Amino acid sequence: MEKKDYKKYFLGLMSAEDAEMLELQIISKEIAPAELLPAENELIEDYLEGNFTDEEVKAFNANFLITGERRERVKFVKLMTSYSRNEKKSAAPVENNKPSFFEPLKLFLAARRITLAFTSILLILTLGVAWQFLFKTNKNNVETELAALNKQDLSNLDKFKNDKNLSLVSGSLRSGGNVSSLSENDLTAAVLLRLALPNSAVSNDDFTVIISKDERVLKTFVQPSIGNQEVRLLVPKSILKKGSYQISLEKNGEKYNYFFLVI
Amino acid sequence: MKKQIRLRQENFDDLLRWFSADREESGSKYEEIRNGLVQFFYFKGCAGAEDLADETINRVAAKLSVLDLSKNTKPAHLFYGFASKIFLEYLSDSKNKEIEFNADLHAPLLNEGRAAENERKNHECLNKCLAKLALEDRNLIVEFYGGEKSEKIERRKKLAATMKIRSDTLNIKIYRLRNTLRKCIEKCAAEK
Repeated sequence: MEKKDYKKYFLGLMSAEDAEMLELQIISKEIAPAELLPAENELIEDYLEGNFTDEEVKAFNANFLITGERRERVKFVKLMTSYSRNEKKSAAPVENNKPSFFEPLKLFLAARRITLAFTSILLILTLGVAWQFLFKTNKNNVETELAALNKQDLSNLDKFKNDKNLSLVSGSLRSGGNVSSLSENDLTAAVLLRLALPNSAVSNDDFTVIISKDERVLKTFVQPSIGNQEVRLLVPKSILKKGSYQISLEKNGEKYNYFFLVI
Repeated sequence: MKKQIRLRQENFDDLLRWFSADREESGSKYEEIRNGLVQFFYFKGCAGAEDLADETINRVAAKLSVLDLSKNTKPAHLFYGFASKIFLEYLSDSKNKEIEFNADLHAPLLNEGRAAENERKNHECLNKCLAKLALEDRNLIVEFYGGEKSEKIERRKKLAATMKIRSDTLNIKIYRLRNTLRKCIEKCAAEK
């Protein structure tokens, strides 16, 4: 059987005899699951992408979505597709659960019965190196993520308005007013910050952006202003942890500060 | 679904003997039929496919002594009859039915507006659950579901080629990852 036959089967558009034959082949293992799995997955993707004819949509709703389990499968594909398209790999948290680095080290030490003192010194050194390495890796990931996010053209907000992975914080972050706060739990994968420039800011050029958290500089980079009115930044959720943030925009000795809290 | 049948040892032994006089061969035939039944219920869209497969086997075993097996009945045909009936019972069970229209589910992917609250939670849960996967598995499933239409097909071919595996092996791997993630997301959403 071909993929189009499986599609007809799932949509309930196959004759009863052919469907029975196919189901018998499934039970007797003449059809491998690896043949049917992609067919079912593609069917769901085609439905979600609107690639179906009216008849197929009707058949899908009437014959495919007949069980709660299938509805859950559709929901999962929808969730995963939207995640993959919008966030790609950059949105995934940086930590991973690979086998511990220390496991082979422990085995190594146990096997050779190295003295406790030597083991301790070695472990301390290793921890130091590992900490340095992890810190740098994390920093590099954040930098890559920030750079990738802000490389895109942010001048047209319309193209972001339907992006459910992005929330927008508009220019209420200036110093002098109340400090705005963002709830960490409510943050989307990326947050679009609109930093309003004062009227006196005459430059239409690039600003140096300095993002600090709890008075520690996290990142410095260059970002253009939009129509001399504001600077827009896309900040990944991964760097917006609970704490006090300051963003400074610098240009020709002028400096504008913006404050907000993540709670 | 009807009350579940409890399998007696003598019925199970009869079933194995019907598969084959050779104990080892009958064991592997039993496994083969059970796997086939699990696949049948999975592709019929049932939750708990394994339990339904076991229930089918129990019912066949319990009825074996009164069935006419003289006409060289093929096991797959016999099990299929019972499995189809169990599937109908599954469908008639109100908790398995599609009982309400879910506007969110029916909204085409490309035209959806701002995420609903539960979808936002699902995204958070997905993030958490993806983080629990090994890095290569996480990248694999994100890559698999990325891309649009024709690009997607090419992307999956490349993915299989990069991993030096066949596309059906890739699909099985994705199926397993999907199940792991779904369980994790369900658990996470229930805790929120």
